[in-house]
Amino acid sequence: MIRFDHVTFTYAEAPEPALRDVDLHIPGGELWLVIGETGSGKSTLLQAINGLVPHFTGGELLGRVEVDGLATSTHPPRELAGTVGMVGQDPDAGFVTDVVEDELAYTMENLGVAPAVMRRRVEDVLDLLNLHPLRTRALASLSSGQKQRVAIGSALTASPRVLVLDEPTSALDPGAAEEVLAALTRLVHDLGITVVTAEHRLERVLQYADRVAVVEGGRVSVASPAEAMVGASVVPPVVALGRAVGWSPLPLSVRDARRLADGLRSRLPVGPVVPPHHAPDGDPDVVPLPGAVVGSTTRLGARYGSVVALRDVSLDVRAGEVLAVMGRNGAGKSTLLAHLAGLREPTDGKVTIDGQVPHRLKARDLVRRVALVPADPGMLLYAETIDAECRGADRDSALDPGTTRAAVERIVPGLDPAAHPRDVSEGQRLGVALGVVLAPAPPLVLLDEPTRGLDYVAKARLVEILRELSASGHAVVMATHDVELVAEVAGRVVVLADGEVVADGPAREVVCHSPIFAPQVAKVLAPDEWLTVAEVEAALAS
Amino acid sequence: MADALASGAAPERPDRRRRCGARCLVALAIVLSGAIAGSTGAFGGTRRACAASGNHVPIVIDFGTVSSPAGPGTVRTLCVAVGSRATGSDVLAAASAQLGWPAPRYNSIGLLCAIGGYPSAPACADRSGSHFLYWSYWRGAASGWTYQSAGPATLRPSSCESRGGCTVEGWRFVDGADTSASGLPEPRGPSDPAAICPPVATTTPATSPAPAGTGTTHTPTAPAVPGGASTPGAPTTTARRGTSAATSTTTPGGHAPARHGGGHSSTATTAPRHRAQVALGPVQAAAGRTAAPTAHTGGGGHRNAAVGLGIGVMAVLAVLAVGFVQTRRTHP
Amino acid sequence: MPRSLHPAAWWIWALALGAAALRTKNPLVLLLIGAVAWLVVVSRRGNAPWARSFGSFVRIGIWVVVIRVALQVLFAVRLPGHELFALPSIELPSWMAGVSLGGPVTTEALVTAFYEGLQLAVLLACVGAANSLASPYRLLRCLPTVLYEAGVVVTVALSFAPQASTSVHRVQEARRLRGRPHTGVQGLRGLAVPVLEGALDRSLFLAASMDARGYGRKALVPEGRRRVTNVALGLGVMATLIGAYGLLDGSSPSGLGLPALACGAVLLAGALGLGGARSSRSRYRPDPWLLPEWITVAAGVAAYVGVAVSARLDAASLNPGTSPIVAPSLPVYATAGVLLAAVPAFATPRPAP
Repeated sequence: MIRFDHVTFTYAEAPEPALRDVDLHIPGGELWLVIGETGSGKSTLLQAINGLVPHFTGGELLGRVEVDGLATSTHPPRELAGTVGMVGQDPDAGFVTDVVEDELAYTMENLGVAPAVMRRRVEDVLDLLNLHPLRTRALASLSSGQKQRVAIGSALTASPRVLVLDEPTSALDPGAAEEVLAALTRLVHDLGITVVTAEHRLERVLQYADRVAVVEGGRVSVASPAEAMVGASVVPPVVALGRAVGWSPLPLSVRDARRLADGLRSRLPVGPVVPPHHAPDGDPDVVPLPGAVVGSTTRLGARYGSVVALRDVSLDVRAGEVLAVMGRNGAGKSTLLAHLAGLREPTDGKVTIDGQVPHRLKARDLVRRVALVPADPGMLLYAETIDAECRGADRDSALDPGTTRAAVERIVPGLDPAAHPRDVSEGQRLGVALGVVLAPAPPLVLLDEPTRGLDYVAKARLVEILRELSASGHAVVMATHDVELVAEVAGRVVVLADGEVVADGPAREVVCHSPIFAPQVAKVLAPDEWLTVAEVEAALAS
Repeated sequence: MADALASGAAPERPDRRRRCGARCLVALAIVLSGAIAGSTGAFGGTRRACAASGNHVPIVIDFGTVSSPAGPGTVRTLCVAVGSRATGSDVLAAASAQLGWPAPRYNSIGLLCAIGGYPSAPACADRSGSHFLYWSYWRGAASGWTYQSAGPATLRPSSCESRGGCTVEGWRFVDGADTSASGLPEPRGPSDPAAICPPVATTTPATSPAPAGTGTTHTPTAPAVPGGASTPGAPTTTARRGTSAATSTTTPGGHAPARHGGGHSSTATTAPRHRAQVALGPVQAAAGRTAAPTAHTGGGGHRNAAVGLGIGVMAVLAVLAVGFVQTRRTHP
Repeated sequence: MPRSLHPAAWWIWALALGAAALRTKNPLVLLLIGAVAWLVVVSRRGNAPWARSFGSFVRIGIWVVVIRVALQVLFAVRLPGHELFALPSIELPSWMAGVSLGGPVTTEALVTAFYEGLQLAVLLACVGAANSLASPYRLLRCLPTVLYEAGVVVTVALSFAPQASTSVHRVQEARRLRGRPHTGVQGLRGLAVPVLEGALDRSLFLAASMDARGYGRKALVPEGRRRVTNVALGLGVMATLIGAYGLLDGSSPSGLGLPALACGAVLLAGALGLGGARSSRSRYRPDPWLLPEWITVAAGVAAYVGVAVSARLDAASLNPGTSPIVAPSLPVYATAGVLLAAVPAFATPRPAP
């Protein structure tokens, strides 16, 4: 179906090729997973399939890419529109119309599909992706998960032979991600469509993949999922558990692992386990809970026009705790963070940070009390070099020169200070942003979707950083969909639904009892309440 | 999940700029309506004419070859009393008031459209065939006429009482067809200020009351045919030339059209009139025919305009009211 | 049955209303046009985000009036008349005769500026009405394939404003998070670059997305035919522009407007027919063109015709004098025509909720 024949691609004015001698054959009706670190060339590989590389990006492509017998060299993307459906990372940026139904029909209109056929296909896709309640809704009013499904739907209506997706679930809550992935497998199994998808969150996709293409420095190697996991440096928790326990073959899905887990359960102590991080006699650098209250909300309510984003939210955030805020897309997580950070004025109730009302504080006073890293950390950085960024931050917050540089160095050591903030990797950028906002030493740190776009290496480093922060007495509040991250670091979890708090308690209790928010290890070892591989390893060792 | 920064469009917060915009507009509307009320109340008044503190400027208004309210081919010459820093526009306005004519009409960019109600609204520098019909602006000195490329509102003629002496404000209605190889036709009237305004010695202006309101109507010796087909060239030069002596003794013609123009002001009615009556017979007749109806439509127009204004405002309010009802119905 | 009207019908209605506004400076007629536009908007707009844009257009219009009057005060064309107050004036060199900085400000000058500003504001309101009544994207669907580049440009432009406003908001928030001033002149500095950068990125992405989704697929058209199409298109656009000028400018020869417009329309239709004949596009649920559409178009044209008839019979009432100031009167035909333009507020189907 898709054939890469010795493809080498170099962006215009780039010193190094982005793809090197890629030789690949993807047969029809398979689901391929493309993995690799940020900047390894994943997106380039995907865009080469429908000809956006090189027709739209420019640059030089050697070799030959063929889709369903059509060479991309002679067929520009618009000619391939009926063969390849493309879904980008940010569905919002790719929408051309403004209503769900029109968006679904857009590609078909361009292809000149007969009106009667169009009507039928739109209905089919509405059913397939469970979109029919949304058909007349304005795209702007949808949640991220709904938008992602509409984007996939609009690629599907043209009934392409190949569907290419770039991180389709990275912005989605676990429930919505399951929905999208279920739809994708259905396409592969029932309709025989070839699906190529890039994804960082292996734990979500790995079990569905037929083959895995690993991209490293522009080179692509292909393996079966199990083979790929054997040698991989970073693996989803279920694979890590399999490795730790010594299962063979390695389980790729929770279901596989559960079959093998009976023996393991009998080897583990029964009943709720005390986590090693929070053991009273554990590490001396862990601040015992509860610490002092650094931030609180009282009956906080927020409204945008007629939409209620938050209702009656009362929370205390204490020093030294890592609080995870979870919930569906659009449940009000980001709004809660924005209020804690003093970006919004509450409609009802009040917010207190360090005894002050945050939205009334001057910017300079605000940054000494609370730090927020938005989902796109690049938003915080605007200087030409990291060094300039740090010096600017010192000036803005009236810090001693060098303070910010030191903070950044602590979080991401060995960064080239002359590099442009845009040129460093996603994880390093998050680190720089975090260092910049942490330099004034605010007691409260807020993170919105910190793992979005992070590969496993960067995520592991983030976990370390968060633990250090909490150990040094910071209160950390993060809004996230990443259940594995929550399992690793969060001590307390708050679940929001439609702006209201529906659960607030220790992470273990809240997470293990939720079918949606449970991490893989908890699912494998249910009903026992284990959260992470590290816990299991520790218990086995003792 | 949408990131914190993008989630929710702009928060509901009062938009100061919008309020300022609305406030500015309301303030502007109040100022404007007050100003309009003030100026329409004073409309037609002779504001500058009586403000004279002894400053006089000579002016020649030549209707050219066309038929006009003042008669075909009329040329008016008078010495106007004006304020100290009067512009060309002020002189013209004062002259019009003195003659009892409607105020000069300008268009939105300040171009002079009509003198003495001629040509009638909304015409302004219109075309006739390939020619333009417009009022040309001149300055006269003893040496002759000079065409002015700037507008009357920007130029300030010096008064005859000033140290440098004065020039004549010249206005000539031009039909492009008149333009000959030698250029635009000049106003047919004396270009020498001394011929219109008596040279005043450095004595106190208060002691020479005569010039205020003196004026002369030049009628070309060849009677102009109402179609404007007369030959304008020759008569101009032979037109009676008012000397200072002549001015004070001859035609104080201002009063005649003044009566027809609605009788607003007759600043110059003290002088004997019999000779003027004789001299201006046909002109008056013509003026009477055309000017009188204009005056009437003017008065009736005011009443109609008030009614129309009322109806118009009611219509706007009615549409707005229906709109409010509709908002209630569509967005309860 | 509730349904949304054909977007082209709303645009023709609004443009005809705007053309009517362009031919008069009578504040009564102008205010009436604005009120009618508002009435129809509040009666027939939907719930989509663009439906709220009328308010912004009106706000811009108010600013136009304010700025126009302010300019008149500062760089007055000196309209003689009743002096309200005088600013210190600066005499400009003789080659700029006629223009002056400061100087006396007369009621006449202010009223003139107000009328002109009002005319522009009402024109903006008409465009705003079309914007909030018709979905720009649905209108874009009616765009023939011949105009491929125009389609991309318009789509990108349509998405620019909302995206830029989101970007501004995000950058401002980010600045606050960094402890930098985020309002005032200081906040403005450094705002433009990230916002424009973001908007540019998104625009490129959108263009790529349109391309990947088959926009602008070439139909197989022979070279000669394509050339004829292009020439006809160019001539048609030119003739249409000349015709529009003839219709809008009251002083142009009367034989110019309609014939040129008709000629242009025929040429354009021919070009689009030629170009679109082999086009591979089709329409999903095309908007029907039924009686309500005809009524809407007729209502808009009625407003223009009313004003045009008034202009022929009673030109003075459409452009009330401002020097000297004359109280504006009410031209009968123009008023009747503009009131007819309000008919779509009642005679069209309600938009789907």
